[in-house]
Amino acid sequence: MKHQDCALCVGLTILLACGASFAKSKTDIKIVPGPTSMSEEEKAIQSDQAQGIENAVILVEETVKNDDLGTDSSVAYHLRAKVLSNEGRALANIEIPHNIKVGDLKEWWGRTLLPDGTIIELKEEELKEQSLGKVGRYETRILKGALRGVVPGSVIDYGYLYSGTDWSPDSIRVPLQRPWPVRRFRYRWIPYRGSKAAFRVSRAEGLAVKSQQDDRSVLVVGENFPASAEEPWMPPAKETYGAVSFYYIERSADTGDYWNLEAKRIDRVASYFCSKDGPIRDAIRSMSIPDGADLKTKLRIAYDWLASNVKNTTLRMLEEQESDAGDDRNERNTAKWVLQAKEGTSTQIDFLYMGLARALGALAHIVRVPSRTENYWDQAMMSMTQFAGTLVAVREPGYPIEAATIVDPGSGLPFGEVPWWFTGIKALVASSNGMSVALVPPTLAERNVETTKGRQTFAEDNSSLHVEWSRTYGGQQGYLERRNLRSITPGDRNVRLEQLCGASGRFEVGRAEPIDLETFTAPLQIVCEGELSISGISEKVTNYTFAIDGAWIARLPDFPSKERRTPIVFEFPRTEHHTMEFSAPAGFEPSSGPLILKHPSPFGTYTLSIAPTETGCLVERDLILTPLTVAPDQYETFRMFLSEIKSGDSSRLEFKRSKESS
Amino acid sequence: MPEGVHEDPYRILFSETRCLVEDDGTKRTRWRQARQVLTVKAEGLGFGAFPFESNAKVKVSKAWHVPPGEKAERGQGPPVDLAISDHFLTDQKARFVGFVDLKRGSLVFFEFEGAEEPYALGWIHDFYEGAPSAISRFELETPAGWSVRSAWIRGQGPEPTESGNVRVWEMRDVASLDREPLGDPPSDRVAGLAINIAPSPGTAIKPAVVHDWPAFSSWFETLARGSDGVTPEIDAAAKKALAPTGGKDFYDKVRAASLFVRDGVRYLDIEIGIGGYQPHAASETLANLYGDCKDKATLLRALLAAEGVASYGVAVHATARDTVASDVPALDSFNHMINAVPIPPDASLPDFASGAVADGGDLGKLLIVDTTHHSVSIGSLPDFLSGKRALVLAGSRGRLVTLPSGDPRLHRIERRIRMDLTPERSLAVSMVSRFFGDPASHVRLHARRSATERRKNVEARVRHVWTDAEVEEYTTDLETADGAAIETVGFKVPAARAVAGHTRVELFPGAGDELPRTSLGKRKTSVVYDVPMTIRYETTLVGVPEAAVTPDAQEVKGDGWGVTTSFTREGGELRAVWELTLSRTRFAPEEFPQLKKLWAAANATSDAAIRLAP
Repeated sequence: MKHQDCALCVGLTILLACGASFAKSKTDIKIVPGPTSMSEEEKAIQSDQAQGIENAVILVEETVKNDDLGTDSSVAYHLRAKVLSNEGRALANIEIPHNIKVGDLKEWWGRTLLPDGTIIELKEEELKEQSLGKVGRYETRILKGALRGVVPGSVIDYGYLYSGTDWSPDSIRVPLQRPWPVRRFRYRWIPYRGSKAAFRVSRAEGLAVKSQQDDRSVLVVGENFPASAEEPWMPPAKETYGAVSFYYIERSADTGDYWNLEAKRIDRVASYFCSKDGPIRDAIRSMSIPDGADLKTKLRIAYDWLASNVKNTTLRMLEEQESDAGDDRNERNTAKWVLQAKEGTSTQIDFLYMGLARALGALAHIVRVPSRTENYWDQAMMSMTQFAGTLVAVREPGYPIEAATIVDPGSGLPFGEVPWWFTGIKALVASSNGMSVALVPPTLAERNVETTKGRQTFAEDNSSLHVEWSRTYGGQQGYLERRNLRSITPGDRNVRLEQLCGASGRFEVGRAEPIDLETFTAPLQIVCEGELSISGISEKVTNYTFAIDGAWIARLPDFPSKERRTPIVFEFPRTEHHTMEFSAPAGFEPSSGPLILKHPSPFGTYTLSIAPTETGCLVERDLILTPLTVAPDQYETFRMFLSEIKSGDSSRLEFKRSKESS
Repeated sequence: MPEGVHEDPYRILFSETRCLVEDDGTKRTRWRQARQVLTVKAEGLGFGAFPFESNAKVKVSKAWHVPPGEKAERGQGPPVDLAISDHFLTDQKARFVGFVDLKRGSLVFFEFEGAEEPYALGWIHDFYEGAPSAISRFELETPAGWSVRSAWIRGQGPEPTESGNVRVWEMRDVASLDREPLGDPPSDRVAGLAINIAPSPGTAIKPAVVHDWPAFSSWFETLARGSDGVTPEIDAAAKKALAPTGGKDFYDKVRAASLFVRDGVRYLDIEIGIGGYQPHAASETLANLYGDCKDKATLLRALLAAEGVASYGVAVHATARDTVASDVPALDSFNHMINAVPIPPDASLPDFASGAVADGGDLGKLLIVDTTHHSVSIGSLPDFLSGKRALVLAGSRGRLVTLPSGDPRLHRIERRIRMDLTPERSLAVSMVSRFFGDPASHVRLHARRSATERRKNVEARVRHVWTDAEVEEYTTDLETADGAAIETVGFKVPAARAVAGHTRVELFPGAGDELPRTSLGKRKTSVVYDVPMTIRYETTLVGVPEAAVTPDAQEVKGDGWGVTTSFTREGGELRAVWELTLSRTRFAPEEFPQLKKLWAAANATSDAAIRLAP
């Protein structure tokens, strides 16, 4: 099979023709039991870690799902697999995930083919029913069975045809890649002809997969899918491994113009929210916008005014949530009500800002965006469930959408910054004319600054080391952590703060406090203090060395593998400034001279300076990591840069016994 | 309603379990609870769950809700029964009733009642329900003339108040408990009540009467009767499995048969009705090559019997500690089955198997074998069984034994590191790590699940300990004859950054972090290690310049632990040994200074290094 051209992977809407032909469909496949003996090829399959073959290989997985049987639906399924280890035997524990209370098993076979040629059958009557749940008279019961005699080297082969009125989901995502390789894959879907349906093969670049469709059904076939393999800091699984999604579209939706219609609907909802312009005009008047301010200044002022005057109920401190008596705010979904109540949900604040911006003369549109920790926006997949967040795009009239500033007014971030998980990906911009696409730009390293200042002081008897430092996070640094800290109980918050301060069996944290966590728009700041357990310095010791790293320096990501298949995706570009004063142990003085390391690279710069002082050493460390992503072909260079940083961070300070004490 | 933010999402104001044992042994259980929601995030807090199995029927399931300042409402809609176990096939369910739309301050009341035909009249009542509880009460009523014995486990609770045939145990102010690293789980930190009931003499009832542990053992023997029969197939399987051993040495025979069961029979738990206690016939398990713990234990007994080796099943609790009361047999005391094989007086065991030998009293010395867990080698006991009390199922001779609590010599990590120092002061390192006992089980568990992931983890550790090491070789031997797991890693380490012209080569890199630690500053509960253990590093550094100073040997000892180092040098070769021995597993809060001393000693001694002049 030839590799699928990516252009053929786009989603296609299956248009259902009335009075469909009774002629044999070109997507038709027949699901039958596999051979009752192992082929030579099957016999030859063995574990091969280098090829990602560990516990099992799926030889065949094929499914025919027919939703077009009136009130019934059916699923025919066949799995044949070679078991390669004891762990792989778990494939022989079979669960038929269809409710047998509202359907029947029309066909069944299950057998174990042992390496010596013996066949062990599992008969249908040997399957056992398991109740999963019962509500009133409605019960869900499924069938389970365990194939017998399975040993590593066996082939298992089972399949069934289920038919009934079991609930069928609106969308199914079938992974093409699993923790084990798949040799042959076929999936045929016959959707209910009364509904609009579509399918989408995603992330199948490089996979031997192709699809066929006719007026009633679709068939996706593939072969030799490699096992899924994880890499550190890789894109989300949905954007890494091949999958096929089968789904229904709202019956009224125009599949040819899906995104435009959705965009218009979003704009209608947001515009209706702001349709009473009186309260919005009043709000603008209260902002004290200077006469003659340009539009961008006005938009910033409105943004900051919202942050100060309208509380985001979605992101309140837990203490605020718990002290809230609760009322019917959700029943009043208008800008007027939000302005009166001086609080609203994240989405209500986005809608309100859109209304304010429009009233100020800007072009303002609601933006729907996925969370890139889960998935990106796939336009060929006609489903709004891809999106996780709402933003606002504002621009001056006459400028294209590319010139827009994308903001998140309920987020607590400054104007022009949006939470990092919405950045670096495409988003849908909704207007009354339809949709357009905008790239939510990644933030810059210089905006995401973490500043740490501290001091480490030996006890008078050199038995322990007192460490204190404070850290201020800026931009995206600490943003998610701050949201998390605000949302958890005081007890959990203390535990988490101690973790942030590096509490461990080696470092006993005595103080771990946030500063100004209550202020919604303030950056995260923490103060840490504690005792570091050290080896102790006996009188015999004449030279004492001490590592500069510790909880005050965030651990760098590690990439053990020399090769890389997927791009590295970071949360955001970042800057770290660290300044730490180290006192010399009592009776010691610095013996090492000054050290300055500077490593520039295409990915940022690393600078480490160690300077002796009167009382010890001053360590200054600056790291700028500029990339949001690193392509596989840049991997080795990037890895070398990280090596330089790690080498610098593993530097040690050396002290010698001072003359007075020796 | 208390003000402020609460760490617990709800509190139990009152909880009462009332058990009425009827004349025929039927057990009627009524559970009532009143709880108050303490948070606005009340999703899921309004449901009560009453567990039951196929030998029980739920007769009553009701719920009421009193929102703050409003009138009470009664639960609407049908109750929901859900399977609550992750067994492959199970009849364990729970009946759920309750409310979705709760408010902070809401009061929710549940009442359930079920009628159960128990298999035996002995069970454990747990007083911890996952939330702080103001009053937690257990009430037991039996027919006149019946005897009731009770005993507290995992601590001490109150004596019952008695009124006629009704006994009431009541605990007040049961605190909420958190899970802490290196600690006992919350459920193991609250006292439980073991109950055993016997009818008046001559009264026939449906449940088994297990008045003492031998009676419990006999009951099990009746249940399992015939299941361990030796069929021709079992005989053939035993001969095939034991053929490589020559069929003479006792330990070799036990090991061969046990490995056949451990590796050949896949674990599959089918727990329905009495099937939760009654094993399948060994012949059936052999034919299926699947089964649960008791099926595996039964097959092992049959295989050994085929070779003339007697053995017993052993009931034990795999997940909770202190579940056994000496004089109060209870079904809930156990949830796992293993084997005990009497060791013939003339048999000799390899040294590494000594940690799996229990004193069986008049049953003799017993070799304990667990074939359920694929990662546990024969001759070793998994950490979760260490030191537990178990019941040897020897019919009327059945007796409680204490499983070996572990020996630090048998749970070991030994790392032999050879470091060749190049003129550029980079290192070529070969590290052979041998794991024994519990550490070996963990290695095998990870590696067998995914060898690729295991290698990644090993590489990550190497790179963490040796900054920027590049791994070039990785091989494993996951199970040697003595139960060890061996990993060999070869890697190169770039020259360390010189300080004041000097380069430092650590002799025991990573050793100080082998023993897990946790913050002790605010800790109020014991630190618990899984097993006593030994960690040993033997480092050979080749290419040491003549002028480099050899570190001094050290020895630090405390209560139940010790750390030593030694160094010998021959020319340019330095041999360094670091060994930490931990012979105890539990440190109560008042013993934390001792624990800190241990950790400090591990730091100080493992920090040894050679300082190379410019």
